[in-house]
Amino acid sequence: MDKLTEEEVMHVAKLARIEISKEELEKYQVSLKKIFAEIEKIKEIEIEGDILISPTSSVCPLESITDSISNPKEILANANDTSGNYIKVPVVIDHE
Amino acid sequence: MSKYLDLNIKEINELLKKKEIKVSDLVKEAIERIENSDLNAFITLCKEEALKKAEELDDKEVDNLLFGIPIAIKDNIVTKNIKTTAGSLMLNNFNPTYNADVVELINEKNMVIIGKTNMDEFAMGSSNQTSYFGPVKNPWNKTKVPGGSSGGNAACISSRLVPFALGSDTGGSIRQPSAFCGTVGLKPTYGRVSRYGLIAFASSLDQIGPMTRNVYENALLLNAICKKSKNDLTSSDTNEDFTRLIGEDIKGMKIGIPKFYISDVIDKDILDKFKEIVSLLEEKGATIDYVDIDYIDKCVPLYQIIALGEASSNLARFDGIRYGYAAKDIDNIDDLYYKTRSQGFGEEVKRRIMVGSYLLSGENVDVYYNNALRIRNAMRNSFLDKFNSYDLLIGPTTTTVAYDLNSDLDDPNKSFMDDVLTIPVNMAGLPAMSLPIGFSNDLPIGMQIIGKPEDEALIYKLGSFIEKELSLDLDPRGDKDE
Repeated sequence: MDKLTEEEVMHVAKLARIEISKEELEKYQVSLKKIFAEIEKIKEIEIEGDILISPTSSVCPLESITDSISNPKEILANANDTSGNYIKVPVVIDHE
Repeated sequence: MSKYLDLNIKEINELLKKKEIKVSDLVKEAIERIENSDLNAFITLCKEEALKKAEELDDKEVDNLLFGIPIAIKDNIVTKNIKTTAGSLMLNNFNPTYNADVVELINEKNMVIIGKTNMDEFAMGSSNQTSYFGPVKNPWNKTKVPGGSSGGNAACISSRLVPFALGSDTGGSIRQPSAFCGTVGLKPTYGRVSRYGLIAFASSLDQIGPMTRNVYENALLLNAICKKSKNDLTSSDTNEDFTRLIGEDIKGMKIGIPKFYISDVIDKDILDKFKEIVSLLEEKGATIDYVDIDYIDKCVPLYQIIALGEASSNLARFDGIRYGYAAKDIDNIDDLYYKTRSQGFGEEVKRRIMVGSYLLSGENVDVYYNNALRIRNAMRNSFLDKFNSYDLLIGPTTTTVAYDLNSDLDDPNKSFMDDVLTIPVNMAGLPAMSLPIGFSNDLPIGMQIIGKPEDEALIYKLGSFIEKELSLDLDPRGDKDE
């Protein structure tokens, strides 16, 4: 089959927190399938051994770097909705 | 109009030192050129800020070669109080509260930021056509793409709007547009340059690098931006002059060509031009061999797994709450997430996030991601092994020259295939530079020089040698009077 099912697309869209319209759905069924078909080629390779997460040659010590925030107003200016020194967030738990 | 920006960096520096010109003259000239350009290379022009900075510098002592020189910054590198969009509606209203490390470093050299350049959305693309702000045109032929994702940079360097730019390269985003526009672009060794303040796409591949008109100026800009940073623990400690080997003879140099880089997926014109360079190098005393790199033919799916997996994770932060686009008329937090991301991201970005999210879900992590990391390790080791026998590896940068705007928009693999010759370098964390070697139908052809980790100076040595031997006319402005 040369396209994903509607359910498959809705599943990956949910994982990515992306809403898909009816018109987009068909397009993504085809285009996502093409990418996955390319990715499947990796399965031809059987390989064991070490993994490489990041090609860093230097040692990366674990260290906490913290900066105090001296400019809360600037930071808040980028937020969608604020109240005093807080960022307002929509309802998270619905009590209905 | 004055033409100081057509001079090389040493000539400009001399004029500044002798006080024959002022920094303000350079900045005004750059602004005039940009305002008269129809390439759509810039998203934000920093006219007032740049003129103000120039006036301040007019009274200061000229203390380095980069002093007072206008520079363009790709719009995924954050600049304090200058809008930084990453080419996306998602960040169209985003004003960073801090500077990226590289921005602080060029400020220390008293360079002048002239504006923020156009790019593929979140650096996802290879033609600059995924930008929310519209495509950039190729200065050599305005019906062609400039390449991407740093397309704005390549177009503005090529058309001589400014002499310097900083780009980013995750799978080829500095080198591929440099090849398409006839400019010089280097992706440094992973960790060479601090990524602090670079809006993350794929953190284990991303690297900031210099884009310039010629090799020497490229090395000069790299000198300015390398410094270990407490903000990026992968950044390395460096204190070297990358220009130091420029001008040296290449006799006795051992060069390898990965066989993958001369395969029939590459246009004949490009291969022919590349073979001319190979003959030239042999003639000048270099030895050339053909080598195999393990798994290099699988680099596209490898990249899709690793880059898109990392991207889905990095772009999860865009939630409509702390900064960036936020959807209106929403009921609850889930509604905000879904609507913000659906409306704020473009099609290419959404597609890539969906693929990445899927690859990192459940048992797919083992089937795809972990296996990809094993292949990546083997590929890197194969590359490193070659550097026991060879000083440098070379090949073409791209399989084609710049293609038509609006072509192949329906093929979701096209933007990945465009980078098939540049991706392996990011996988292995190596440094590599693209430089122009000729033309096909009046469009530039680029070749790539790949070095072992931390060996940028040797790349510049070979690059400058080839540049000098070829002495190409790389100015697309026909009568030089545009």
